[in-house]
Amino acid sequence: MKVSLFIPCLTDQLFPESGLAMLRVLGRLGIDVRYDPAQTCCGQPAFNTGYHHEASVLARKFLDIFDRDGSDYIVAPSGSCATMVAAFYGRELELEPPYDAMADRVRGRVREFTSFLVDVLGVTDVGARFDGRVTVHDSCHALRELHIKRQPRELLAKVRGLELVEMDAAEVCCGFGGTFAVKFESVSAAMAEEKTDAIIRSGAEVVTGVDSSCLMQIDGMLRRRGSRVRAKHIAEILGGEA
Amino acid sequence: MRNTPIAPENIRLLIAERIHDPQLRGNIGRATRTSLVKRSAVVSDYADWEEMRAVAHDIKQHVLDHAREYLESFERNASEAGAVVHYAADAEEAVRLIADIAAPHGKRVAVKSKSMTGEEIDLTHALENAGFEAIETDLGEYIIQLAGEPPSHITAPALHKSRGEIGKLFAQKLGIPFSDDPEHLTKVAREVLRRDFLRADIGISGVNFAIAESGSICIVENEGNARLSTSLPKVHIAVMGFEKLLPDFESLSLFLNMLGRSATGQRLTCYTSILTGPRRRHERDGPEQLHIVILDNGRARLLADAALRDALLCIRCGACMNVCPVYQKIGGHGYGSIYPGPIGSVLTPVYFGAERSAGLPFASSLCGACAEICPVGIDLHHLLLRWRERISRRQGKPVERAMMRAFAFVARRTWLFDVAGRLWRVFAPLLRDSRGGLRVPVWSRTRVFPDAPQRSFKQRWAGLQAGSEEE
Amino acid sequence: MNAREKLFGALGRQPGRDPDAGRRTLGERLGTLEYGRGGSEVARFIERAREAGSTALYCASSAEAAAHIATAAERIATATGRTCRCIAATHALLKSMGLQERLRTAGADLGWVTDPALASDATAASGVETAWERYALADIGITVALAGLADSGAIVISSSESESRSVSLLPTEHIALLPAGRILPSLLQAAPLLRVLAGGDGSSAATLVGGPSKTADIEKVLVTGVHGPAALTILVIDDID
Repeated sequence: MKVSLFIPCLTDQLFPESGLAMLRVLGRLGIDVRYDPAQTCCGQPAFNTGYHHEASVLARKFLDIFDRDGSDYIVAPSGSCATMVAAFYGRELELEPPYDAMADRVRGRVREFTSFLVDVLGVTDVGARFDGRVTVHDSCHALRELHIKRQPRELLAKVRGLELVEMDAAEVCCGFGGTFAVKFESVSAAMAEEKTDAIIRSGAEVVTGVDSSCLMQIDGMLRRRGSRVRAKHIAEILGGEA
Repeated sequence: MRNTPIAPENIRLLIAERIHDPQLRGNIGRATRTSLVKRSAVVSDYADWEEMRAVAHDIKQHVLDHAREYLESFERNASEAGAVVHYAADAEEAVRLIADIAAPHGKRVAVKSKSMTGEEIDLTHALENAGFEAIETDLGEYIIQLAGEPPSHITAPALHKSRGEIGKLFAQKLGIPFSDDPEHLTKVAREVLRRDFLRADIGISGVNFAIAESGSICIVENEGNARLSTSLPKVHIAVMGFEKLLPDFESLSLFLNMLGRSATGQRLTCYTSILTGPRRRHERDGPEQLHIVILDNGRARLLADAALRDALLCIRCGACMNVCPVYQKIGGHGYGSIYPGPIGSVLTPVYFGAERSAGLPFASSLCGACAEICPVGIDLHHLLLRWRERISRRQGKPVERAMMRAFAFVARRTWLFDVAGRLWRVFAPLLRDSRGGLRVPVWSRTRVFPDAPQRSFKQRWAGLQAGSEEE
Repeated sequence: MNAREKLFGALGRQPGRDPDAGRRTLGERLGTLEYGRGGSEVARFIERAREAGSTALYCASSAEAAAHIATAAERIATATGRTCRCIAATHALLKSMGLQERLRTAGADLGWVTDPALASDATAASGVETAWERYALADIGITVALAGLADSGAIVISSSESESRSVSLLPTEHIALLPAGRILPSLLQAAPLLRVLAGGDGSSAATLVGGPSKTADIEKVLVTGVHGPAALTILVIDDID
């Protein structure tokens, strides 16, 4: 089985550790991984703001890179970016031939990281160790478009030393929403406040999830509030060696 | 502010006025949370709720696909039962028609039960301007009529008000001693409005569902004011859009089982009136005339708009706004429209014009909780995305368009993207603040922005390949 | 072109001409849903009616039902210090169960929907109330339900020559008698009845009554008795029909 890494622009530029951790975990599992450094961005920021032309420029670049790269799976440490490609390319984001057909081919191969581990590889124990009380935030795209809920929890349950606690309102949006976070910053911040209230109430020391964008929003508010709770991408928790 | 759609700048003003009001946030938060809890309790009656949603969705699509046939059938059957069916192309025509129907009758006193379609055409104000006394009889509508405000939710119009605020309002407008006891305030309203029901010449209502096979109109409620408004006055005028049509009573049974649960957490509302024509000869009471006004106001055009037509599936339950994290923070008035929340952000540009309500589809994080809870399975968050595409293409701000173009220009060229990243990492340390993050516009007002890493993933990967890096 | 022509013209451009096949398929799918497949047991009906805020009682006989109504009248007479005023639908069942006698003994007045004084066009002479005012001043309205819905505890009533809309709407309390054999599992099974009621020999107003009048418009606090009756009592009677 050959896996291509899909490293979102946010991960590449702001949170490379989560990409590297994902690489570590896949390596531990003996997966043949390749990475094409030509990739840049899937186009989601433009798409979400309604700029389909600009988004499709980047979609075409993505498809040119990934369609015929010979990989069985394209794995991303991001539910929202995996959704962009798997759910929106060629559908909500219209693409001209031959890119519509390429999108159809790529759709079935794109996987968010935890879903790849649990649903494709059938693995829940990745040999990880992480000491701490951890709670899970369910990112909206991952939850509602890709139906990712169970998978992160099954993986975390097998991490040695980790105590998993649930927060109330785990499924409520953190308020990031792309450009929404700055265009409607007061609402975005209010949503982040409520999310971080729930995290603090849960008693967790760390909040995790499958999307760096959500974790950036949540961590940014936790720090602003002077909380000691930290946000960590699930790949980094799974990447900690047992 | 009634029915005034808002421009993008204004929506930020509306939000700013509300988001920092703890009383309002508290009222809305409590009310929406209560609604969601009650809904969950009765939705759990059915293990196959998801299948119910699918069938309901398909029934509505089927009716829209055959809208002409069903409307013809409804008109024929309603007329046979003695109702008079009228058509109005837009809001102005509708209010003119209704005023003309109502004019010859008595002292021009009209009692109104709650109708979102009536709000859409601003019917109450239009009747008042035409010299009618138009009295809102739904308790929530009565409260906001006294306050001179528009509704803030499609099933709970006064959701934004606390009991103290309502108590003060009653004391002020009705000249009674102050009380904030909901039971007492309700009894006061009952006494006052009872007199109006008994003296009204005209009763006006909306329609929740229109049954094509019999020409019946179906109205759901809990208070009894719709039954009274449509039974005591001599003339009953009902306003509806054609999207309220259902084929038959079997379909009605499914929708009634879903509407109460989704809206107010009830298995059935207290009263469901199925009205077929005016009173029959042998009946003891009931209106002598039933007029049904079928309003277009952009619905036919919406039906022909493949990207957005699913908005016509809406059964006006309000669940989407109860679950919406944005609505929960700003309430209905924060949207500047009588249709607030997720469905409102789709419909307001349709019925009131995208030029004036362009901000609404963007005031969402696209979390999709609305689509998940919608009993008829409208993909509201996708409809919002489609509106964004349309608005950005036609009305996109030049600065924003330029930024998007620049981003696409850079991201399309890998070398340029990588260079931009390197430049960012060189200059980012200049932005470091005291909180361990970077000071960036807007974001840093409320949240810490993460510090830039030393190297990008791409650079680290290159290092690994070259063997110059530890994993 | 008038508004009707404009609208039909716009709708006419949609594809699809024969809705019957689609409607049949949808009807079949409806029939497989859980909501239409519950039981019609009296106990289930009573439990759901109570959950909806109604008083629901099982009566082995119509005599027992009459006793309950008389008790209610006594309660009201005691509470108000005056005669309890009742209005009943002119229904054979109510006539035959000796209601008039029972209520007179309990110190209550009973009028019938078909009494001339309750005709809606009965004009008010000085000092005498109009029909509607009589209804509004009544303490109890008594009707007979056409059906009960076990899954919601709601009843089906309709306007007819013997039962006005007002008798179940204006008085302070509503008492409905429901023959046990008329309980259906759900609204799906009630569809044929509603169809008949909507038809030419039917009624201008069929109503599903799911509980006493209520609102939560003020801070989501439940208040019973807004514009309609403040109490709904359903007497499920076993020995008739």
